[in-house]
Amino acid sequence: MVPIRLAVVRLRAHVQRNVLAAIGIAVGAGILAMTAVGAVAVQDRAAQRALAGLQPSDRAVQAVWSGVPAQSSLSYPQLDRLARGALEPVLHHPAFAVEVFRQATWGGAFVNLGAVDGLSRWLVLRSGRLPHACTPHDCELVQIGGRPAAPKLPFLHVVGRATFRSGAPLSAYFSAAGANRPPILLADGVSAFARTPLPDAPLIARTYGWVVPLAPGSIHDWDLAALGARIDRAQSQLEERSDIFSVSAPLDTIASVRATSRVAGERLLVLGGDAAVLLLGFAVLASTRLRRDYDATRRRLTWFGAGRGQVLLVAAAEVAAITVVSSVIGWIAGSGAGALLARHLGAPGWLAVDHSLFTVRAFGIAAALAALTALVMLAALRLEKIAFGGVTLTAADVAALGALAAILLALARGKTDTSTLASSGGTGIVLLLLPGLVLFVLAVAAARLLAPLLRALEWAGRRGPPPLRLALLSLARSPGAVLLSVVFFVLSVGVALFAFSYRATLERGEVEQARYAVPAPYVLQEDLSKLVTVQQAAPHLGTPVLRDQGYVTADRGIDFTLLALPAATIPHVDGWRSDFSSLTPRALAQLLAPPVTPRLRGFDLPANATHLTLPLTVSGDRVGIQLNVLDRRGDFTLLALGELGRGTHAPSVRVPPEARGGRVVAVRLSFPQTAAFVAGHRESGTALSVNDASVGTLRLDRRFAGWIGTNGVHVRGASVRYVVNRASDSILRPSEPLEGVPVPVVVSPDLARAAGAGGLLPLHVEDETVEGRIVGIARRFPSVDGDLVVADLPTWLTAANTIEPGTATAGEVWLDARKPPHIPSLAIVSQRATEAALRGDPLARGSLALLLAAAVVGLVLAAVGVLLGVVGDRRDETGELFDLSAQGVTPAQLRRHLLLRALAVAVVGIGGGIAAGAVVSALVVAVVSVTAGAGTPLPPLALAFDWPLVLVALACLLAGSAAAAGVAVRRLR
Amino acid sequence: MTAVQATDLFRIYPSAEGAAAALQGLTLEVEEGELVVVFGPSGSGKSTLLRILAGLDRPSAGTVRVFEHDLRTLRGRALADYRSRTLGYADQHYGRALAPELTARELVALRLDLLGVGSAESGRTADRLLERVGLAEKRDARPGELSGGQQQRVALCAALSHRPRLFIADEPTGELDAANAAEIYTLIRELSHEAGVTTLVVSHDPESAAVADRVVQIRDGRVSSERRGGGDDAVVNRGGWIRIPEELLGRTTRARLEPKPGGVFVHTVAAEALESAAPSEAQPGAVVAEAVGLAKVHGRGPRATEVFHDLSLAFAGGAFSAITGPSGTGKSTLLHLLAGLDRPTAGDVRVLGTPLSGLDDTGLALLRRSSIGLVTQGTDLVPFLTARETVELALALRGHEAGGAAPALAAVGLAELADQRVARLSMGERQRVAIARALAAKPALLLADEPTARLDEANARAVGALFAELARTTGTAIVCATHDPVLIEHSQVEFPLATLGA
Repeated sequence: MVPIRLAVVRLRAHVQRNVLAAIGIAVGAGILAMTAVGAVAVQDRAAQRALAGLQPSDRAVQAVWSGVPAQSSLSYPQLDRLARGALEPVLHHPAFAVEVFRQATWGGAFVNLGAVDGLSRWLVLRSGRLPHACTPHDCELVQIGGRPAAPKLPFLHVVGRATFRSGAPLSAYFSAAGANRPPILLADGVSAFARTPLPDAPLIARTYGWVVPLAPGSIHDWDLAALGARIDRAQSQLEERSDIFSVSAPLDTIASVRATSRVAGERLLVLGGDAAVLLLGFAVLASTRLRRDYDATRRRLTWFGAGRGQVLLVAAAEVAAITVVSSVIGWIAGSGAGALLARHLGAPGWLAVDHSLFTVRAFGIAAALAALTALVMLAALRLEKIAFGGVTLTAADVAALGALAAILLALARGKTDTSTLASSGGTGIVLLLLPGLVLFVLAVAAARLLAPLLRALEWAGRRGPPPLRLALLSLARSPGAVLLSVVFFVLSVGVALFAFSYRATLERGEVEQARYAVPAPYVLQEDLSKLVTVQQAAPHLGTPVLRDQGYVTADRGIDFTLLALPAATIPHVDGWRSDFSSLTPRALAQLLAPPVTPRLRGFDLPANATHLTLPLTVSGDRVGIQLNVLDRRGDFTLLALGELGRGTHAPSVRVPPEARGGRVVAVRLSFPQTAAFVAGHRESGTALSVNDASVGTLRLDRRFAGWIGTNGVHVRGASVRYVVNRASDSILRPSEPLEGVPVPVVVSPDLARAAGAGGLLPLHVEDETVEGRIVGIARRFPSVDGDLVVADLPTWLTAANTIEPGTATAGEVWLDARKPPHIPSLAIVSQRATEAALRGDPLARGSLALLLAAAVVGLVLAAVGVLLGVVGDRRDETGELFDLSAQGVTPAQLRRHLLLRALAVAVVGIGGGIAAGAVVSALVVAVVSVTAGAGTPLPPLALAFDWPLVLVALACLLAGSAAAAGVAVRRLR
Repeated sequence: MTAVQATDLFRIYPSAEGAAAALQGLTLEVEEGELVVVFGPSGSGKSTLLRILAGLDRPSAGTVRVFEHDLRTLRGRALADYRSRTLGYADQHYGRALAPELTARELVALRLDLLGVGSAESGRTADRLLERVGLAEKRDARPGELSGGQQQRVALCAALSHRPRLFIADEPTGELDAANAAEIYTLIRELSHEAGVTTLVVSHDPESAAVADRVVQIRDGRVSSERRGGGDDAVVNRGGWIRIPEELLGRTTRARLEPKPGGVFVHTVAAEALESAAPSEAQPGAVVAEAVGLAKVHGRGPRATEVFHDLSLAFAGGAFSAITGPSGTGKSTLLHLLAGLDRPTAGDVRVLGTPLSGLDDTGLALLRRSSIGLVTQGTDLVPFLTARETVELALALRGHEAGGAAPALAAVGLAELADQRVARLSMGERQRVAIARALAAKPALLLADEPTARLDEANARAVGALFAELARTTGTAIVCATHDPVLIEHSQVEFPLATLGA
């Protein structure tokens, strides 16, 4: 093959010239390879982290058989063989067996009795010794928890006490022992224990388990799909023999992890797309630099009578050799970098490489990309300009138009969020390739705009010194290579800026998400397992906040989150962003704040009152009476005076400490409990005659003068006429300051649209309806997801407790403190810890690291592009430079001439790159609603630029480019 | 049988400065086996005609056939087939035609290899041809290791290795000295006659006429006259166009026709015969440049080639000196050394009393700027500048007013092309731009490297006269490396390099 031979000769003769082109392609391929490895590593770390977060007993594959042996056709040895046989292929590790008789009496001792294979590795000995391996006739036991217990059976001996080692995957069989729970007695070795002569054992239910622990790092993301299939297979195999068998594994967790990590992996396509565009851009640039030589070769071969195919074959062979070699080098280098990145993330480096690059799919992609790169290079070498309707188009223009069409199509199809990415629909992928396409289009547009700019420069520089004039003339009149250099520079700087800004956006997003989720350094909430209120646990601490759920009935019903906090604190809430509302937090606070802080009326209890005596007279039916006391710490205490019948009473009630100094804000009159009970029975068919309501009159002392009643309570002078029943309590309370006054609220836009005239909106919260008056609109408010209503806390509490005294209290405390408060009874969420968790997320770390790498590579490629341009200019213009030198242009002027052109490319390229990168960043942030950790961002990501970093990077780029160009022209004479 | 039949050929090139017509109704027939030499000044359309015959360009109008091939309709495979089997082509820039990566043997065999002839046979053919042209020992040398004459011989072998039916050569001796040129023409004649090849050679070298069966003159894109054996016959083109030879026309722009029995007589009106500038009578002045014990070796180690040694020459102001000698004797090298564009291996150069060895690269550049003009062969001019800008840039560089550009361009006959970009000019026109640039600068030392290599005789004479006049009127020391007898004739001093520094 003559063309191939010729190509080989030419390649060998021009090694140096081809190296630069190869470097760029290798770097592009390297980024792709690194992205692929990084994606797998990130997914694996996410899987590892999720698995590590599981309870030890859940972090295992287990086969469980529960039943009565006498009812089973299979003996223990048969079950054991079956289970081990089925489980062994799942993880390729042998299972250990567990047997347990739950809460049964053996030899007079009420215990959990069981055995575990290899027991000692799961125990920490506390006293005595660990049991020897069990034999049917002499089985030693170790006790875990509970009071000392020893079955009076000759073959069972308790030899020590122990506790379970942390991480022992046994809690599903032996739930935690406690003082009030029966102790656990365990033998070492299930097989022998199963043969001990326990009385009536065949008739007693027990559980056998076979456990294969999932050790951290033993299973990787890429194993998960196959693992699921193997678990299913084991389940089928065991069920086939005994339907009592069940196989369990953290499959739901695995599926969830895979979905999240897949989102992260798909999102990395943003970088992959950029890298591919960069790679192809460099290929075009390199081709233009080889074009002069290629044209000369084509001319020679044409003179020599070579056919078009032969000429093409020479070029194709050269391009293919450059592409293949550089792609292979790039993929190898990218593998290494990816492995290092994987290790940085804590994933096994080479395994990640193995499962990302050494796959048929990866080889296919690599080969396809190399082929595409070669084709692009070949096209750039051969394609001439296309004249179309009087407009001259280059191949780059045509490609840009195609890319623009793809962009418009993709944007027409909508946004990409986590669910789109998880489903891996085509839309998501196309959208994620958008940045690369947009960059390309912008770069070509920038180059198109460059031509008039260069002509203007030429005009402006016509009176400058000759080298400057010559440089400007060469830019303006021979713009082909310059334009492509600019296109590439815009591409590479654009990719770098996009990577920097997207990284900064994601990083700031982490901070914003943490501050939005936890709007104060510490948020204290009631721990639902302990049921201690924040007022009880942390009285008078921090900013009290009421959070509740509610709805409005208008507009087909809209659910919302109510957040009531003191208006004055709103400007100090963390996590606020200016795009949440057209109003500032301070303005919102002013709109919400009442002129005078409202407070429930009533009469105060002395601060030292230990008892309260309330003289009263009841005329009529028996009635329950409770006093509703607003404590000084902000919650309510009910003081029950009892159910009182006709007559004069002076019931006395103990005032708990929290209510001392509090204010009695209401008297709650209720239907007597006994009457309510009987009434309930009558409704269910009793023949007894009872009243449906208590009716009577109550006389109270003058502290209640002027109070008003609700729900069947009517005040006439000093008498309170009541009619109470089971439907609801009736209330006697003072006339409150916000009686009939709507509460000023800030709401989300949807709620605002649902408001009626005057911005009034009935808000349904906790079975009450509070009328709100909209004073402002905010799309978001820290700590709230979805539609929101924000109100001033005292105002809301007063309004809500006016309607139903004692029902509305703050449920959270937002605490601005440096150190976390030590309040074990509350759930404390730390803003810093939340942020640290977001930052530590492997998906986030991986994404950010890859973005940084992409930015650096973009800048390096830009510098290589400059170097390629200068070297190419110097090579292609040897004759012209010699002629200039012959006219007396000094070496320094010649160098300046070349460097000026490179500088012009760099300056225009950097300007265009910054603009293109900013546009792409804005587009990606707007379109891809995914956080660094592959979650849904709350609040939505807002574009951020790390300008100091960008400026330093661009300065480095300029310095690097200048140094490289300087080296390239230093021998010019 | 008619081998080449071109009828009423037009070729118009669009350009930013307007359309430029390279051919304007050219009609030419060449019989099979005939060897035709085409003469014409630079820009007359010679190269365009050859490019059309080579299938590298298409006419804007007219018909052209080569044997059975209609070149207007040939496309794709048929065109490639025509080029590979019917045609042999030798370019004026042999350096451009020869792939620098291949050896002489590989270059000659390449065409046969591309045709699918076995490598053994193509190798044998290459060996035979190289032996025939006396380059058997150089068969493993790459073009860079061969002299210009040797490279052109290799190019000829490569063009003829497949025994084409039509061989066309575009100024095949443009970059060669007279001896090498004569040898190449002889070779062309012998090789083409041996193979029975129809041959069309474009040249400006009058010596080439010696090997021609017929000589055709092209002017302004048309055939103006033909000579077969005896005197020239003017050719009447379609529409009655007839070209009056420039030497008869002088500088007039009008002529009167007088039909008489037996012919049409042409009387020029207000004829201003071009004065042939006589060699300067002035006595040489002070020495402007001198070479003292100069030696130059190219390369290192066993591949080192000595160009010359112990060469001592002096060039006086007001003198027009010609450096002559065959290719490879170091004429261009000497000019580069005098200009400080290269450093000697031994000895020194003094320009205006300044030893160049004492100057660094910047100092040399500044000296060139202030005192030296170098006329290169014109191929390396900055292509995106116009002819005027090229001259103006050089003047600006030297701190001169730009106003000198127009007269200098007019002096070399390029006034009308002053605003054409260099890239659009023919090679001969580029060479004239380079000359104009040097003239405009009026340097103390003007060095010219084969300044008439691509010029026809009339233009060569004009350049010779200009140089002589410049030397006489400005005291410039003019040093021309040339093998052109016309220039040598105008020079006052001849330095035959082969005998001086060999």
